[in-house]
Amino acid sequence: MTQLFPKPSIFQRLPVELIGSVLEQLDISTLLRCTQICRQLRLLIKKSVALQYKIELYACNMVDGPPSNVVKAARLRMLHAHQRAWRRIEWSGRSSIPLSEPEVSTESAWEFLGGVLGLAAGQRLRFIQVPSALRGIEEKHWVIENIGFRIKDFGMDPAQDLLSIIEISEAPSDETFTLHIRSLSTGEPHPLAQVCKLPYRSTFDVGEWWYVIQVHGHQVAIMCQSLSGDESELVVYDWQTGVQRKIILGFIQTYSFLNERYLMLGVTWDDPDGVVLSLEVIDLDEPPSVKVELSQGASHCAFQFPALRDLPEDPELAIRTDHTSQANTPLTKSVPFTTSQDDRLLVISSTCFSESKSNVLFVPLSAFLNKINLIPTEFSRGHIYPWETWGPDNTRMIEHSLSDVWFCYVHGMKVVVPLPDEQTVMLYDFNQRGIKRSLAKSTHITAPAPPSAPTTITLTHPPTPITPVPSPTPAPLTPTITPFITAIDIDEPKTSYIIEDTLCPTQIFKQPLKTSLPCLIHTFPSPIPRSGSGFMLGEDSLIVIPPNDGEFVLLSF
Amino acid sequence: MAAPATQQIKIRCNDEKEFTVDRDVLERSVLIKNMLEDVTEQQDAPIPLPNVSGPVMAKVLEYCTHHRGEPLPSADTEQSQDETRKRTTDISEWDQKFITVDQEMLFEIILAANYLDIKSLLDVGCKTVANMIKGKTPEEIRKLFNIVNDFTPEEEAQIKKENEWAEDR
Repeated sequence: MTQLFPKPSIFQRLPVELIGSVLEQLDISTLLRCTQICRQLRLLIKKSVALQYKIELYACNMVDGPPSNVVKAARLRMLHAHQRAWRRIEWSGRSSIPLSEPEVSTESAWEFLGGVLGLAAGQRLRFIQVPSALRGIEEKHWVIENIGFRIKDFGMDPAQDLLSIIEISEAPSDETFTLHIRSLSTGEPHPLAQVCKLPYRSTFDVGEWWYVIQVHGHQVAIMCQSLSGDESELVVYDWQTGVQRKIILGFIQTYSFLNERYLMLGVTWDDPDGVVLSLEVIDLDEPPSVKVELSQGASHCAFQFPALRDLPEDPELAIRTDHTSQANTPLTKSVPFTTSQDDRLLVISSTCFSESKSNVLFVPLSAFLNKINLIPTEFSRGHIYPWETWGPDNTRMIEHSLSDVWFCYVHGMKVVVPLPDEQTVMLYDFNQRGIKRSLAKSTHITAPAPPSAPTTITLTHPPTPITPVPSPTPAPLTPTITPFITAIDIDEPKTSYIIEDTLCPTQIFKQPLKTSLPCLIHTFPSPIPRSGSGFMLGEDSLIVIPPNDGEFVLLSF
Repeated sequence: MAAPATQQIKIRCNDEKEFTVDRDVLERSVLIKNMLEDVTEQQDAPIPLPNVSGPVMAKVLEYCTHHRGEPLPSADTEQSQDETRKRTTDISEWDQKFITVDQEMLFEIILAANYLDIKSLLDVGCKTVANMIKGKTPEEIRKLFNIVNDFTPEEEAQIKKENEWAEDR
């Protein structure tokens, strides 16, 4: 008999909800490939809210939040609204945070991480949990009135309810500093810390230090740098056990955790051919010694920058990134979704102060980790990646004129950059999946609207060439459906993409540098167009710091 | 009233095949558990299971016997399901070996687990099918499950292009 009615596939004989259960187990690229198999599967995937939500999260570089009474359909709607608000830079709330006199003094310290702004002055700390209409987070304020000692600096991680504070003894003492491990919400000793007071005595005796503190998962790192700039040492603690994992001696300009295992240090080496700018990777698991002296070739591997010009002084490196640990913070019990930590942007600036110029390099963490994973043997040392092997294909560089302030301006794969004209701000987004998806969609648009000339972009950076691509769906200017949006006092921001190779002008390197990592740029007028305004970027907020105003301006989404 | 643990229950499959099984083993199936709770008096007539055949039931009982005594998943809300899924990303070694069967049997087990309401078995089945699909091209998946391609070449090329953003670089 001929097969007039071919036997239907066993797979297709499963009830729709069971096929759905199978598809939910798939990774996104396989799931999308399934839309290519047959019409039935394509329709099933299109109509499944759970699957569409999963795909959308992936495209937006987000992960699902903890279970709550907010169902998938509502989460998907919230995610669309969140994306739209950030695409169009439409914040839903604006408020100001006045600062007290001690809080504006040079003795004060502050930090903005995981949606919490912390301000410390003297023995007092206060915290503000930034609200979000789009993710259902309430504004919260709390104060730790008297921590019991004078606060030199502090680090925090809201996801772990962790507050780590540096105390410098006012009386003469043997310790250089004491690290306190406290609860962020109460100021009491942290319940998970076996030791909540960790005294440290530095190897060098240089008098006064300044400190840079960072928290990453189980680890707290403190870098002490002498005021003269000649010495520095960095100690990494496991804050739960109080054990010192590594002490690194040498001149370190800047540092950042890559993950629980690797630490990146920004250094300069004096080579016979001139000064070398290098990002050294330290393997925290490497046995046996806790104390290591940093020297060329002693680290696990190094990412080097290209040759420098003859400069009156060594350029200064600074690495910035946002590594808050998880979605589920004790403060915000049930967010619908949160920025994925699988990849994040590192912003590495090399600055030459005498030239008033800075080259800023944007690198996804994955670009470094992929290279580090190529090193075949464990605990090997001295592998060098010259610029050509990691820079041109995986990064994007811009030139930036120095403003007075550069704050915590990076979150996830996004970074906010105020332009020197003081009127314009740019939000760079390096989420590659989102960019690829928008570009693929935009080619379907027939008769693209005449591109609006990106005049604000050509003013300064980024370097030419720039291809403006019309946003996939021309967004209406009429009031939006979202009820939260109360005031929109800016024009619709412009969106453009940089996908070609660019040559970045430079006062620091011998040659202009070619880089090619695609990015998307939202340009918008500065909410506070004033010279020297600084910006901080969070998952749900932009915080503007106007100079000498005694207040922060909080724009929440 | 709680029945003694040794109580034996008789079931009859759609091919007349009958099994006599310890009650706690059978109660891995929420369907049968609920049925038994509704029955107050001792019954001698076997419970009819019109959607399951003898050979498939034998497989299902093998699974239930191995996992007897393990706690059943709690209230079947969307949350707890999600949590279970997150906790158990892999299939245990025994389950892996158990589920290594031909495709026809695999799908029959999934259907039976769904009908009998045995969440953990359903989960193992769905994960196994997902693992068979993972990393394959659309053509390979069609071949695997004998699915007919009903797209025109143009449509297929278009969909492929739309999905490119999610493919690894």
